[in-house]
Amino acid sequence: MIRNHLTKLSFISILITILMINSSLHSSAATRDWYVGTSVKYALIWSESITTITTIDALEGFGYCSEEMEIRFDIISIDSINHELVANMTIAGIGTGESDGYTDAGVISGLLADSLFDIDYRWDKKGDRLVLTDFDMHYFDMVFFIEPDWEIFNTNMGRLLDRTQIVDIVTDGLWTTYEITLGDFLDSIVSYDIMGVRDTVDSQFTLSNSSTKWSFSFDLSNVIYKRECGTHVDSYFPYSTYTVSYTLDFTEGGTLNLFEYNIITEVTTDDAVEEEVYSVIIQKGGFEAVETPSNFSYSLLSLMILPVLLYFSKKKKRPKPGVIKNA
Amino acid sequence: MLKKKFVHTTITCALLTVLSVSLILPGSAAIVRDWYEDDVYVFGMVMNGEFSYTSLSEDLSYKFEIIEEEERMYTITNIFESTKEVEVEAKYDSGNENTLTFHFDADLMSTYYASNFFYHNYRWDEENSRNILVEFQADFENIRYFVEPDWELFNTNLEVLGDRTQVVDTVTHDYTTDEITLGDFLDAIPSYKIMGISDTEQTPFSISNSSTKWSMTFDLSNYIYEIEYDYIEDIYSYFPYSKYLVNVALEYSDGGTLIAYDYTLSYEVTTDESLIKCEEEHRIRKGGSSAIRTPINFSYTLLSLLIVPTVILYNKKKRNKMN
Repeated sequence: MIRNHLTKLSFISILITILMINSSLHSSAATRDWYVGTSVKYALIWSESITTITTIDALEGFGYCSEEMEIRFDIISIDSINHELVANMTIAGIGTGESDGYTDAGVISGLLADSLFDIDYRWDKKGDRLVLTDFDMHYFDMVFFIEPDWEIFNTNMGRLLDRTQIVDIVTDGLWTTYEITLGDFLDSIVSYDIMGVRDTVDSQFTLSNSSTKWSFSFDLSNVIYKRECGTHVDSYFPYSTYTVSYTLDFTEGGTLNLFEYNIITEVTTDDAVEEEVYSVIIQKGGFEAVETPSNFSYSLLSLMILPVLLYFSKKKKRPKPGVIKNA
Repeated sequence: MLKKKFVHTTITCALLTVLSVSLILPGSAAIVRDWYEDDVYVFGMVMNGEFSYTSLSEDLSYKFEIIEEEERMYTITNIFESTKEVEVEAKYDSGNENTLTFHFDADLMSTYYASNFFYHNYRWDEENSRNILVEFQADFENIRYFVEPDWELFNTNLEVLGDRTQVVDTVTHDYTTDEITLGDFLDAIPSYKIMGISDTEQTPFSISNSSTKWSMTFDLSNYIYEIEYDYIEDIYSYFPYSKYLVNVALEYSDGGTLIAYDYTLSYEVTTDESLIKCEEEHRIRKGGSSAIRTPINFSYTLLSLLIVPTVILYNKKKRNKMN
């Protein structure tokens, strides 16, 4: 049964496929550090835990799932005209397959800037108000190798920090349309840190043209709501804890060094108290690099994951077949 | 005075013992159910699993881990005697609720268990001209929470599990068909324990008519094989599992309420390319998750502690016999 998971490799396999390498050889200030023959090993670690306890009968549930994988890229060709890179991708237990893709710093950063934030507001009919119901950060546009043209990259990433950009549009039942800007969002949440700039209201953010590391963290506790659909009107419950952090770090030469993404939430609804910890890490160097004590991110991950019981949503729970039949 | 009291107490204890024994003797009056309408039960369920794959040629590893614990509260709302079904209102730890219906027919359940408990898959190893086991399962699938406590009927049906002559698999090769019996399988593996009876060769197994607990342990180390198929060369390769342990136990109260279910699987195999390890555990307990964690389940905690040393002991015994 467990081994079926290996064949599915649901999450990470899909992630790797989508993430696949891109490169381009535009002129840039920095010299790339990846070539034909370059071999780089990564650790990909995904984990999720969910704990629940019902408010009336005190029924307890706990789920934890983690998938840890080492993957190696061996670059076999670089097409400087079409900005393509071809690499052999080897995964333990899966084998080796050839994978390619093309992009350049401008395309990658453009996609990242356009899709990094996923912010969703809804109209709460019962409370007659706008409520934030989803905040997530996309990471599927990330790459392992990129042209080190950081000026272009950071110029595009600068769009992320435009406080006037509209992040969502919501219409209420009276045909009024609300446009929510990034500034509205940032000014409403508890705290945040973008590229080292903290949550001063109306702060103007700027990116250095030479940045190779981008970091974001948000605390949306008691600002974001869990939505539960009702027959006539939906119900909304505030998350007492909702923190999100995101780090993307490349070498000067354009090789992915670290990607880290964490969400920690806790919410109490009419039915249950639910806590969730979700984490993704991609670390250059494989498991050994992740386990190095000096690696702060891993230490942080350990602190979060080990003591905290992770919850699975009921949909994700997979009891033994025999048990399910009795349900 | 004290002595007289002691004698009196002794007689009373003896009388109680005789009475309690007579209650479970075959042929005695049917045991009364201990589950009724409006009864409320909480069951805890745990599924743990850890799988790892280490490539021996690529310096790459993979690991998957899962832990799932859940609790369900069942309130019996109806018992349909004609169809032998029990209806419960189920509450889950997510806060969801549902209505479920289970069969409680002892005959139906035990027949199902008897028919589906074992699964063996043997293959013909052409290179070495022999039959080898490549898949094995021993488990009570489809666990029921409530059963009619007709243990005589239940155990009579389960007796087939101890029938050494039953054919567990057939393998055809070179225009010949080999029939492998349960006895062949049991005599070939390093050790096993069925209903408390250990691995004496040719041992006939019997199940007491009053049993409400069934347990089996199998050590298939170095007997069961991992298959690898070379699609290019169209060749199968077989690698023995250096460790392959299966333990299963099911226990009901005398009145037919599920008390505990345990299934554990532990294996390790090295192929020419990889080292594969797996630990898997499924448990259900009346009383909820706390019943799984607390020392109340001493027997099961102890059981898990004892299994490995026991298997090792039997391994040694077997080797001594061979020597």
